[in-house]
Formats: sequence, structure tokens, C-alpha cells
Amino acid sequence: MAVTWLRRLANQAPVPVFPVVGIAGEAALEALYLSPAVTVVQSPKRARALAVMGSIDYRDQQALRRVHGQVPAPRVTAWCSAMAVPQELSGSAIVVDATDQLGQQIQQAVHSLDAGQQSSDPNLCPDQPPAPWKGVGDGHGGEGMMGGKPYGRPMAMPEDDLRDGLQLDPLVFSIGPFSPLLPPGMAAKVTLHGDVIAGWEVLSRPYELTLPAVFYQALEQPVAVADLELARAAFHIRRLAAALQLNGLGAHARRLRHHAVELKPGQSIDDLVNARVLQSLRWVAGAGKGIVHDENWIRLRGPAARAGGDARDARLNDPAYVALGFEPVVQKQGSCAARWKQWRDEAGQALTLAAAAAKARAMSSPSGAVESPVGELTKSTPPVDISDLMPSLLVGLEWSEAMSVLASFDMAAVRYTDVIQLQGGGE
Amino acid sequence: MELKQLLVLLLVVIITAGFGFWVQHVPGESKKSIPWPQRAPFLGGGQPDTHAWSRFHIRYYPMTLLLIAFEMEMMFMYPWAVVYVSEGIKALAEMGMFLGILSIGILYGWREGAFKWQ
Amino acid sequence: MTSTLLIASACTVLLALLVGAYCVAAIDGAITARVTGQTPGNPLLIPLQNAARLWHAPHNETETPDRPALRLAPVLYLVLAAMGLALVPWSRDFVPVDLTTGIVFWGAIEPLATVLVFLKGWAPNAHFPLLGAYRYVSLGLSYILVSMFVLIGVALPAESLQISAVVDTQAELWNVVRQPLGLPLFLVVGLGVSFWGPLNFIDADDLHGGAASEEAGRVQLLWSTGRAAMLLAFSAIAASAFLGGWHGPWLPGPVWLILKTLAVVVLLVILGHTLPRVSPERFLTIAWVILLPLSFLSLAGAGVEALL
Repeated sequence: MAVTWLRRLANQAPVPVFPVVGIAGEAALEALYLSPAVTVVQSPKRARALAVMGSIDYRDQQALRRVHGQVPAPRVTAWCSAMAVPQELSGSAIVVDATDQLGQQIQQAVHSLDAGQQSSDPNLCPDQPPAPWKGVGDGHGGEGMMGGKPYGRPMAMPEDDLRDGLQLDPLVFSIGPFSPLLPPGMAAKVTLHGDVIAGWEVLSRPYELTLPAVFYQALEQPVAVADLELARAAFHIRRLAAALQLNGLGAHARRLRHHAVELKPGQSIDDLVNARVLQSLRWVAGAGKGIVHDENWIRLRGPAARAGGDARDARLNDPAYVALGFEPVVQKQGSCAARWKQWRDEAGQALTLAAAAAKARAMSSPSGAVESPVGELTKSTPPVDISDLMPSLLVGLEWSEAMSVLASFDMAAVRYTDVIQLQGGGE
Repeated sequence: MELKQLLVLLLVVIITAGFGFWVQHVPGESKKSIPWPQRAPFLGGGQPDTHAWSRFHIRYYPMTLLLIAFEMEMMFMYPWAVVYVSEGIKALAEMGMFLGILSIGILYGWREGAFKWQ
Repeated sequence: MTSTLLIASACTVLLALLVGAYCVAAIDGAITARVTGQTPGNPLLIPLQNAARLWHAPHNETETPDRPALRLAPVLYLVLAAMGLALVPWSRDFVPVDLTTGIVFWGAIEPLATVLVFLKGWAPNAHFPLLGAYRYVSLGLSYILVSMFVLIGVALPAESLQISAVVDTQAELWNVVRQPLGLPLFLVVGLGVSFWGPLNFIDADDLHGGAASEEAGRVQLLWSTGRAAMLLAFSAIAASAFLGGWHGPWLPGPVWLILKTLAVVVLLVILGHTLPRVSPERFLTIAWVILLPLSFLSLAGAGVEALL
């Protein structure tokens, strides 16, 4: 009796879900963030369910299996993807088509799993130790400490430190492609000396980004400037939310995500997020870090370029925007903080522009190039990937600084070709 | 009287610790072994090259030494605090000098860059 | 008679610990709801629902962990919080543990908490918890001294290291007025010792949750209970050292203590939701170059004031 009472209480809490985001999975992830039935967690070990959203590249199937195995059993796998469900999971995974139903269906599935009405997913990886014990006894000492295999995984070999030349052990691991700290699909081999990054090798590039459909439509036909600008504001606001969350301001991030779905023209950005909170974020976490120097500068695009003082903006060539008196905002420093400021300012500007455009019923005029939230979008050359710039930016930074720098870029290339074919189907 | 205080403290410690162990104990857990893939450290789908435990580079090492110096000083400060009012201005002057010297030490350390991540 | 008092003292502390930890979680939930503008449910029930969920959630363990450390760290952290709370005087006559060296004892709890938090990150033998653990030690090194200088400051006018004596000196004027630098500096310590908000170096989101990324179920429940209990114990100590403890007009002493403690909790939780996490290197510099000299200044001020 007491147990069922406790169970009922437990069932009222949101279910922790670990998201695996694939190609075109961004919208489902945002829906998951907003669902009151679930909480999105940072590590599968604390989750009860795995949500696979969007298609996962073939090269990452093994990583997907590994992450799946790290959700403690009994678990639920939710499949919100154009991909076929793997054969082993076909009996147990729940397939969800509508993204707004995702949270609720996961919660229901976990409850029926707990009630014993449903069985857990099978494990996809074989239950074998990654590197069996080879030392003597079962302690942490044993023979062959130096570079040998006392047990389990090998020990690190000392190497020269980056800053002071001491000889200590580097911590080497690969992170991603499903780390919430990196863009979906990005994987990197990291070498840490203490908590300073000594090496960052990009193992795989992020999945191509799917922009809101209105930006693709604007390439082909006139669309309402107000719609374009609202979509732009929502995009930047979600990126800001991620930066806030990373730096320990999860409640403010949640607030922004909720606002991002119901933006109205003319809203003030200060009503959405406390200006002082953002200012302290920039001061504390982003000042003076992640500045792109030398010849790579030219590869930055959109807000990232404007954050460094480059006023390139495709909107300047659009008569509708000129009529509205559009002037691009720019920052000077080109640092992590400047890029966050740029997102905030551009979101604020977009909301103001949207109000003016809604009043004037302004329509964009397609001219072959649209200023998307991540830079100039044209039919021939959509924005390309800049994840290869990261090693030069991140090496030498502390871990927390490096993660802030990563969260200040839109690294992924923009997906183009097949989106045009699907055009009109998406929202 | 002090004995009674310590007894209460002991009681609080034992009950809290007991509660802690009880919460952690999951019945039947020992029978169900956790599969190896689940045990692997979570790296967002990535894998570690080496063992996590290593000779980690503690970049705040100079601070650990400074802390020991200051902690020694704290031992003098506790009795000082108790007799401070009765000793009066003399105690203030003495501790003032002591703290003055320590402050100069901190300034020196700062100039030498001891408070930076090495 | 004595044994009744003994049992009553222990029971008060334990009840306060449990109810207090719940209050911390409820206050955190209420303030989160206020910031987000979303009310996901009854804020009074949410902590209980989450606890019940964790109680039933499956367990996790890592590859070849340091098992004794893994088991002990969350338990002992909770024990430290309970010991800290036991030091707090509820009224003139009722002090569960009235040690003549109460302040020294609290001063020992803080570094021990650092040790346990480190152990928590070390034990799972996984990369992100380990990074969090080492980062946290740098924080622990920096706030301990600030805390001790500030607390010595309140011991000066009391001519005693007994916490009840410190409270007694505040009958007319609270220490927060006499030593205006003391409470703000001590609040930084509170954020550090319970790794809350801007000083959450170990369970941080930039490490996938750090030490918390490798735990699940009941261990997670115990760890977050310990953390809330530590925040509560700290707040109660801060209320006694700076806000006059149980002193106050009209209402009985224990009620004042509870109100003041909850006020400190609310303040800390709001700070936690307002300030972004500081980078460890920057905090180290801030702590040694700004906060520590400020705490010297606070102590000198307290010294002069005590002689006047």
C-alpha cells in the first residue's frame, strides 16, 4: 500500500530524458525542452529514457548504441526520426511522429514500464569489460602501472605540459557525437593537461543544420519580413539559452526557451531576459576569449563576423529592409562575449524590425541571397562548417572557458538541397 | 556538561549516517549486476583512451602551500580571539602587525603571479 | 531528565535537517518557477515527487570505482551538514550541541566538506567527475580562509568561541550592522561549501553535470539531500553569527531562528539563480586578491569596534 502511494507520487514528477539529436532533430529537441512531462538531462546515466530525434549518420550508429547502453535499465527508447528503428529495439521502442507529443508519450511509456506492463529495451552492446584485468590482485596498484594494463583501461604516459613544462599525465578521450556540450554530430579527441585543453582534434564535423523553413522560402518567393525576423529572433534566443544553461543559469535558459516559441513583434528583449544577468554572463564567462585571428577571420559569417566589426549583411541588399531603415548592429571585440552580445542585440533588433515590418506589411524580395541567423544563405553556397577553426581557438583554454567559446559559435554547415524538396512540408 | 554535548553530537552522527547508508542500500542490487557498457564513463558517445585516474596537473599548486601557511596562522588566532578584549589595544597591535606582514606576502605573491592557474 | 533532553536535542536536529532540506528544495523550486514564469505543479509537492522518483529510479555504477569512497562521500557530507546544524542555538536555554569551541568546529566542517566533495568526484573513476573534483578543491582552498577570518571577527566581541556566546552579544545590535563586510563575505562561503549557483564547480553543466553525471537513483537523492542540508546548516550558522540568531521581539526564539535561516536560504538561492558560474581560475584570483584582504579589513574593523 505504502509502496503504491510512493509510486504514485513518483509518477507525478517529470521523467528525465537524455536527447540524442540527429540531422533535422532540432525542432523535436526544442519541443522536448518545453514539455512539462520530462526534464532534459545532461547525462544518460541520470535518465530513464533516451529520445532519438532526427536521423543519425551511419558513422555514428556505434556511438548511439553506446549512449543507449548508458541509460540504466529498465529504460525506454523514444524514436522521433525518419530513420528506421534498429531491429533489436523494434519490439520495445516507442515511435513518436508528432514532436509536441514526445514528452508525454515518453512519460507514459516510463510509467507503464515501472508498472511492469512493458518490458525494457534490450542492451545493444555486448556485456564485456572494455579491457579485462591483467594485473595482480584486484586493487588499483598491481604490476605494470607505467603504460601497462594493471586493470581495465591503460594508464596515461607522462608528457610535457603546455604551460610550465612539468611532466604529468595527459587525460585523453574522445567526446561526442552526442555530447550536449557540442553541436549534434560533432566529435573531438581531447587532450587535457589538468583542466587546460592541450589538444583538440575534430574527429567528425557537426551535422548540417536545418534552419526554420521561412529562410529557405525567402530564397524562392517573397515572404513577410515580420516572419523572417521573428524566426531569426527565436533562433538567436535559443542559442543564448544554451549559453546561459552552460554557465549555471538554467532557470533563465528555460524562461528564454518558453518565450522563443511565442515571440511577438515589438517585444523588448529586456522583458525576455534580464539585461544584468546577460551582462554578468558576458563579463564572467566570455570576456576576451575565443577571438579568431589571422586568415581564418574571413571564414566567419553572419553574427559571428558582425561580432568582430564586419558589417556584411545580405539584408542591406533588400529594398524592404532598406525601407525599414535597417542598419546592421556590430560589436568590436570579436570575442565569445561579443558574439553573445551580438545574438542578444540582433534578436532585439529583429523584434523591433518585425513590429515595423508588420505595420508596413513589408515583403522581402528574393534576390538570390537571404541573411539567415547563421550567415548569408544562397542557393549555390550555403554557409559551410567552421568546426575546424576550433583547435586553434580552444587549445590553451581552461575547460569551462573552452565550453563557453564553443557555445558562442554556430559551427555547423547549413543543410540545403533536400530541404528545398521538402519545402512547404515543414513548419 | 561538555560530555552531554558530545553525546548529542554522536547520536546525531550515528543516526544521520545510518539514514545515509539506508537510503543508498537498494534491496536486490547486489544480485543484479550492471552491464559494462553502462559502466563506461559518459563522454557523449565518445570513448576514453586511458584510465581517468592519473597524475592530474593541479594548476593551483602554489595556493595549496599558501593555504598551509595561513592555516598555521589560524591556530594562533583562535586563542587570540578569546583573550582579545581583555588584552585590549596590545592584542590589536600585535595581530595588526601579523596581518600586515601576511598582506604584504599576498601582494608579493600576486605580483609574482602565484594566484594564476599555472 | 538529562537523557530526555539528550534525545530531544538529537531529535530536534534531525527533524530540522530533514524538514530544512525539504524547505531548501521547495524554495529553490519556487524561485526557479518565478524566474522561468512557468509553474509546473504545486511547488510544495515537487520536491517530494522528485525524491520519490529518485527512490524508484534504477541504480548506476561505474567501471572499477573506488567503492568505499563512493559509498561514504555522500553519507559523510550529510553527516557534516547535520553536525553543523547541531551547533546552532535555538534559544537561550536550548542549544543541542553547545561546544565551547563551536566556531572552531564549524571551521573544521568546511575543509572536511571540501575533502568529501573531492572524494565524490574522484570515486567513480570517470573523466568529468574527476575534472569537477579537482576544480572544486581550488575553490575549497580559496574560501576556507575568508570564512575563518570572518568568523573570528564575530568571536572577538563575544570573548569566546562558543556560538551561543556569539548570539548573546547580539541582543542589542546584530553583527550584520557592526561588521557590515562580514555577512556578504560569509555568503560567498555558503555558496562554496554547498557548491551552489556561481560556485557549483563540481556538478556543473559544462561537465555534463560533473560528479553528478555518473550517478543515478538513490545515490543522487542522497547527494542532493546532503547539498540542501549543507546549505541549510550554513544558513543557520550565518543567521546565528550575523543576524542575531534567536534574538528578536514578540516571537519566541526558535521562530526567529527559523525565519532568519530561511531568509538566508532565500538570499543564497536567489544569488544562485542570478550569478553565472565563475571560471575557476578567475574565482581563485578574486578570492585571494579581493575577498581575503576584505576579510582582513572586516576583522580589523571588528577588532576596533570590540574595543570601543
